[in-house]
Amino acid sequence: MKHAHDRLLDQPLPEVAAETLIESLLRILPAAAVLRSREQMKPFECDGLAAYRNMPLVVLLAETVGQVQQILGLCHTLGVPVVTRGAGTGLSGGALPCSQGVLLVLSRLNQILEIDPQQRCARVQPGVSNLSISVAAEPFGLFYAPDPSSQIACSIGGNVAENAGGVHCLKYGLTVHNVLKLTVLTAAGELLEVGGASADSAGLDLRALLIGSEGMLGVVVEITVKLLVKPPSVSTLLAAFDSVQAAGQAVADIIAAGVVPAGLEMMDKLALTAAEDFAHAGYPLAAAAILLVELDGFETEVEVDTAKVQHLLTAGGASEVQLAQDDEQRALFWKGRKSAFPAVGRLSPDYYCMDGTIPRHTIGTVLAYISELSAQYKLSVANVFHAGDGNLHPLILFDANVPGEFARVEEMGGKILEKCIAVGGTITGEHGVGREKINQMAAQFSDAEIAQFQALKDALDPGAILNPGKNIPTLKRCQEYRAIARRKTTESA
Amino acid sequence: MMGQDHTAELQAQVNDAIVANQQLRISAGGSKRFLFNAGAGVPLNVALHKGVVYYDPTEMVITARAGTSLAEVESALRKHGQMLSSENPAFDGQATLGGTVAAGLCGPRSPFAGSLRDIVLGCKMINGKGEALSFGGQVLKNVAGYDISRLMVGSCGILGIILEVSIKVVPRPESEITLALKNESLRKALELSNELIRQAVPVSAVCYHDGKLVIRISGNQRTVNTLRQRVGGEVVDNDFWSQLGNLKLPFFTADSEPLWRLIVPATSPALALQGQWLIDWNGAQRWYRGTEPADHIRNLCQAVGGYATCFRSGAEVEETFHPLESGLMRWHQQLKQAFDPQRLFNADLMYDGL
Repeated sequence: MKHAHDRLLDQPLPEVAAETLIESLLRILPAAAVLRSREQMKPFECDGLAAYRNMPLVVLLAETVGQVQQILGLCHTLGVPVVTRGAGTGLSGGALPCSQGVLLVLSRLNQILEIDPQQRCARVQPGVSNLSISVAAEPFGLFYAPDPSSQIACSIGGNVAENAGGVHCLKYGLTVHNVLKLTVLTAAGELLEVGGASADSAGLDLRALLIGSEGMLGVVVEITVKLLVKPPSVSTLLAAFDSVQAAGQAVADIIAAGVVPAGLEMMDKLALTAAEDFAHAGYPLAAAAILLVELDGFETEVEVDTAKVQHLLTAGGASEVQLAQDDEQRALFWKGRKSAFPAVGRLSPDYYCMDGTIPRHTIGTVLAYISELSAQYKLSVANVFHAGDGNLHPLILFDANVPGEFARVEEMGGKILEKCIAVGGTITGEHGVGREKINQMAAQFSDAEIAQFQALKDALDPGAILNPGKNIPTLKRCQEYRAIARRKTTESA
Repeated sequence: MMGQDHTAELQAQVNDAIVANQQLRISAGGSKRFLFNAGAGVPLNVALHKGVVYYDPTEMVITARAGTSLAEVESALRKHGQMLSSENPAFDGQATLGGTVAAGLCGPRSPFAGSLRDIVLGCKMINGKGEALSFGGQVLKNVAGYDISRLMVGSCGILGIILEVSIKVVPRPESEITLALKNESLRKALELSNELIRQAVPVSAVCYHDGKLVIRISGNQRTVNTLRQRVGGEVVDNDFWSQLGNLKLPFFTADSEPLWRLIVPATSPALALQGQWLIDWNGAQRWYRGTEPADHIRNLCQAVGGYATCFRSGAEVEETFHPLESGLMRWHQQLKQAFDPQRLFNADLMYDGL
């Protein structure tokens, strides 16, 4: 299995004296917070990428920053691997447990410590859910901008670890644009404050380095996020197109006209049909692709931009353009998009979600390539595309009970990611590398670049205890991956 | 596109320096020399490594080599109605893109539209082993590997030579207006600006100086006309912001008292330091001209959760940068070691020992 630790290709794991470790852990945590039985640990064996499963040595439910600090100190001293986890909604196996390590669960650190409406920021613990920050900020007319589809469940600590995005990134940015300050514990358990309550901080921008570092460099125990003023005016447009290419061109036209939509989403036929069946959002079923365009801000800005976009969509060949008439219809348009993953999930026993980013102008080429692969592998694909920022989510449908099918899905998924790199994009826009895309890192980066990542990791986590086997492959693994790729090219030639 | 690729030459210079164990001092336009101590090392100039290598307005991304002048980047963008949201100082046209990223200095628009660290998407660099490396890319969303591109912003070149940078750009607003409103206190001025922000008024710069709140509003013609009436005040030339960003206002040039840049939480009350003040970034960046002792200035800033940078020393030469707490300093040292184990690049420029 690809996701299992490989003694030859991954960093070697230490021998851990389990009984000594547990004894020491029981001095830090109450017995009820130390889960050891198979039944207790089962819910923690995977994150949102359920195809990858593994049992840890022990699951720890920390309740205080002090406990986290002591656990790290202990694991650092004993050389025990630590995998940190929040709500477990991640889609790249970033919180996949390590057999010889602890799974450190931070869900119980779930307090919103402070909302500061004057300074427009909130101080929260890592286990707080993404959406609850906006809910708490709502009475002040404020909100937290990044909104991944899992925002009801996903926790902010995981958002920081993965640099989570959402459907409003083009205008409002990713997690890295919306976090002011982090309190982080180093691998040895030392507490550091990184960033500041304001624009920037002295020295190197360690906050940018930590955000998206997938729990490899430290454990974040407190986060100060930026809150934004809720826009007084919002308009949402739904446009239907006869081809994906025409929809892609309309996206380029909107950007070229100097409009920066808050959200700009594309769905292909399979995705929009599934979403419509599920959410009854009013999507035009005859369309080959639809675009959702949302504009928000000051009243006269939204009015003028809405008229501009309506014109561009029609001129760009949209067969139908609908403007949401009220909040209810707007919510319905978005419900379809936000439930696209589970909706597609109903079409098939299982689906596999990819996460490449491509330059917007290559969308036609890339989607054509994906349909070729789909025919070749006999696997259906639904495409959901954050068209505004180029982040593509092909959903490959399959049945895990058919022997060998998931292996074919992974192979096909790997080819999609390689295509993303070939057109100037990246293997992951917002889900992270985790364990899932560890091999494709070798396609995106040279050995020297991988070695630089590794040197950085070694510098901040010299004992290599934080989330081993994730995010950055060993050079050995890269060589193996490239050798296999070369062999395949020779065979097909 | 124009310009020349000097990667190989620069790599050769680094490789020679590795062999000779010779420290290097990276420079290009020299526009920010006033800010940094001279320090040791043989000059290594990247100014010849220049040119815009990729620009597609519909992708909202520009990629240019480090030696490209900021003015050239801005002029390429202007042709397509776009700009850098960070409004970085060009310092008489001398500033280069590489130096701008390395220094990380951002202009009046940056807190509202995106500072440099917000918009850098990718970079190429040479590390202390002489290897040319590429991180990030040209797409807005990219989480493969550690975010080394953003780490370069404000790194003062201590981790390596920046070769090339990809930056997200934004549309230039159709219209802009600058309005000055008399206001006797900083507190009242910021209450007014924050009230406008709460109403989602598209504010793109806020300064308080000399008893006046100066605000820039950016948007379409209708928005700007409407808000001009609603906000009121006296119309000021938009050039005010360029003069502020480039430190050309009389406040900066008037005399040779020490000049400090203080970064504090935006709503902090006025700090008790005797001297002259100019408040930018809606309260978050405060320029202080005066003779209070350095330690006192730094302590006051730190007490409210901020820090201070010395832009111009007095008789006593001050360290430029705010001292780091010991744990953070250790991380800086470890990172320096990871990128530049021989300490070739800009040694001691940011902090002693780095």
